[in-house]
Amino acid sequence: MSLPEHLQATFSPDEIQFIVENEPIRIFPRITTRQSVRSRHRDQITQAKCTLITSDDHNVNQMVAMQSTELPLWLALLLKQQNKCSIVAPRWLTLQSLDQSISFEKKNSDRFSSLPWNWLVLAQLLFGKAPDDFHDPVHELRSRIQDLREVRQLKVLRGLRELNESHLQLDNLSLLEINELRPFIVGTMDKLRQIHTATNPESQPHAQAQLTQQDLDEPPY
Amino acid sequence: MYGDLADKLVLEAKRTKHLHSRSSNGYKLPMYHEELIQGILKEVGQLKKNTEFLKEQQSIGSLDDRVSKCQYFVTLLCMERNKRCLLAYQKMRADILDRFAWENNGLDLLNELKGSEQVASDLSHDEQEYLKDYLDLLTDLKSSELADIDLSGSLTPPSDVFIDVRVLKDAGEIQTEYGVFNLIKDSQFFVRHSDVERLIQQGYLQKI
Amino acid sequence: MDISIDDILAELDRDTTAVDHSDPSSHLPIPSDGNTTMMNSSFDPSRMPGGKNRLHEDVTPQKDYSRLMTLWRNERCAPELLPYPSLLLSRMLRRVQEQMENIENISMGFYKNTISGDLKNSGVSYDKTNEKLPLLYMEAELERVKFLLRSYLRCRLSKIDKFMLYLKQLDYDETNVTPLNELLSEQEQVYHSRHFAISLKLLNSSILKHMPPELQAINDTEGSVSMIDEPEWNKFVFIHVKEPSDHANEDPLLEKNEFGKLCYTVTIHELNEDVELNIGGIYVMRYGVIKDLLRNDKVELI
Repeated sequence: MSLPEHLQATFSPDEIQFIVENEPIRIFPRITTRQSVRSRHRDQITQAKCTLITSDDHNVNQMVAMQSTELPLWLALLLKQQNKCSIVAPRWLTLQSLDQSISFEKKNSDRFSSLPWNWLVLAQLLFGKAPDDFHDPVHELRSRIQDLREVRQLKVLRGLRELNESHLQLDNLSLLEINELRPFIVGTMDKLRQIHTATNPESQPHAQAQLTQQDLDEPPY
Repeated sequence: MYGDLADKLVLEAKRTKHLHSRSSNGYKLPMYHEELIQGILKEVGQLKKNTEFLKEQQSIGSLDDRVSKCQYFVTLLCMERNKRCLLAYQKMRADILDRFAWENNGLDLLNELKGSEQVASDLSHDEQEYLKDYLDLLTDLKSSELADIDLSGSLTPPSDVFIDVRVLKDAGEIQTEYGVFNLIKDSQFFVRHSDVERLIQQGYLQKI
Repeated sequence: MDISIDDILAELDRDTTAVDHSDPSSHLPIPSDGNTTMMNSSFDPSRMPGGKNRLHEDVTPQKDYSRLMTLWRNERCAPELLPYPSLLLSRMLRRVQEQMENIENISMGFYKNTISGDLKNSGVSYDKTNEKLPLLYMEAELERVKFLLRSYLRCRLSKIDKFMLYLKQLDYDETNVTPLNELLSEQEQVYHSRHFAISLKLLNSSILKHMPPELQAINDTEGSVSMIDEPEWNKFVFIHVKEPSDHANEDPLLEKNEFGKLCYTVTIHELNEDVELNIGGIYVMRYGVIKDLLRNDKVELI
C-alpha cells in the first residue's frame, strides 16, 4: 500500500499539528527585517528577501523589532526556536478566560463552549515551545486546559448514548477531539447503519441470492 | 472434505496479514505455500470432473432431478470458494510486496532479492516477477515530473528542517549544499533533515 | 481531460488574471475543485454576478496552498477517490520547482559573499545567523509543501490501488458522470493501468490459468461477496459546513430555516429523513448524503 494503514482511517497527531501550524499568530519580533532606505541606497549586499510560496511574505520581510506582526504559526515557532521573537498568547488562553470556558462547559450539558477549532493543539504547542511567553504561570494554564479537556470528554461520552444510524451534530468540537473520537463514532454509527439496513428488508440491496436461483433453475452450461 | 485445504490457506493469509500490520520493520514474507496451492488446484480439477459427471447423469435421467441439481450447485460453490481463497491469498501477498516496494525505496529491495537466497525462495517465481514489475513502475512514477517532491519520502510532517544527528555506522562522505560531511561512527552533525532522511531510514544515522 | 500541455502552460502564465474557481464565491455550475478553467471560450465575465470584481481575484499562492490543504483533508476522509485538480497541482509543482532553484541561487550567493569578505568590510554589523534566516524559512516552508503534495498523492495512489477493479469498470461505464480521465491525472492513469496489468499477470500465472475457463473471471459481482470493491458510499464522515460566500443570496441550495438561520437541507433516503445542515456546524453524516455538497465546495471533510 502506498499509504500506511494507520493513516488510512484518520490523521496522525503529527498531521493534526501540521494542519494547525498553518494558522496565523501574533508575535513580537526581536529582529528587524525591514530594509531601511539608507541601506537600500547603499548598493551593498543586503539581506536576502524571504519569498514564500504558501503564505504572504510581506510580514516576514517587514518585521521591526518589538512591533507586533502576524505570521503563520510554523514560521513563528521557527523564529521562536532561534530566539528571534516572542509569541503573543491568544486571548482565550489566559487563566481568566479558561476559567470562563470551564464554567460554561459545566453549566451547559448539551453544548460545547466556542473555543477555536484548534484550541487543544495550539495550547499544547505553545506550552511546549514558547512557555516563557505567557503572563500566567504555565503549569496553571496547563492544568486548566486539562480540566477543560476532561469536562468536554465527559460530555462527549455522555453524548455517545445518542449515537444512531442517522446523523450527529457536534458543533464546536475541535479538530483534535474529532480526530480522537473519529474511530469510535464512525465505527459505531457504521455498525448501527448496517444493522438498520439488515433489519429493514425494503431498503436492502436485492442482489443477494441471485446466483443461487439461476443456477438451480438451469445449469449455465 | 472439500474446501479444507482452502480454509488452511486463508488462515495462513490471515496470520501473515496480522503479523505485517503489527510490525513494519521486517521485509520478509512467509514462504509461498506452493504445495497447498497445488493441492487446492487439484481439488478444483476434481470438482470440475464431478460437475461433468453430474451433468451427464442428469441428461440420461438416471438421477433424481432435484437431488442432482442441488449436488451440482454445491459442487459449483465449492469450486468458486476455492478460487476466491486462492485469489485472496495471492492478493494479500501482492499487497505486502507493494508495501515493501514503497517503504524500502525500491532498488535496495531488488538487490536484497538478488543477493539473498532466502528472500528469493520465500517468494514464488511469479511473485518475484511481480515485485520487479512494480518496482519498475514506481521508478518511472517517481522520476517523472514528481521527482521534486520525492514521492517515496517521509509521510510524517516535517518538524525541524535542520536537526542534530548521530552516526550509528560508517557511511562515508556525503555532499550537501552545506558542505561535505564525513560520516564516521559516533560522530555528530547538524544537517538538513531532508539531506539525511534516507540515511536515517536505512539506519546509518539517528536523530538526536 | 482533453487539455494539452500547451494549454496548461498558457493557463499557468495567465495565473494573475485567471479566475480562481477554487474560490467558494464562484457560482458557476461547475465543480469547484480548482480544476476547471476558462478553457472554453463561452466565458463572459459580464454575465456573472459581480464578475467584474472577480476578475481581480487573482489566483494566489496562498489560496492555492490552502485549497490543497482542504483537498488533502477531503481526500483522506472521503471513502471514494475525488477528482484530480490538475491545474492546481501543476501550479503547485511549478512553484516547488521554482522555489528550489530560488533557494539554490540564494545559497550560492551566500557562498560567494563569504569568500570575498565584502560584508566584513562594509561596516554593517553582520550577524551570520540572521543573514541565513530567510533561507531557513524558505527551506522549512518548502519541506511543508513537499510533504503535503507527497501525502496527498500517496493517499490517492492507495485509493487507486484499493479501487483498482472499480475504476477499471468505470472506464467502460458510459453512464458514469465523471470520466476516468477527470478523476485521475495522466500519471495516475498510467499507474492504474500498469498496476492492473501486472497484478492480473500475477493472478493469471499463479492461479487463474490453472482454473477451468468458467472460473477465470476476476470481476464477478454475483455470489455472496462481490469481487469488485466499491467505495463505501454510506460510510459516516465528519463534515464542517462552510460559510457561504458574499453571494449567498444567489445560492439556490441555501435556505433559511424556521429560526432564520442559513442552512442546506439534505435527505437521508434510506431513512426517509430530511436534515438541515447549519452554516458553521459540524456533523457526522453518511458520505453519500453530502457528496454533492462536497463537490460544490459547500462542506469540507474534517
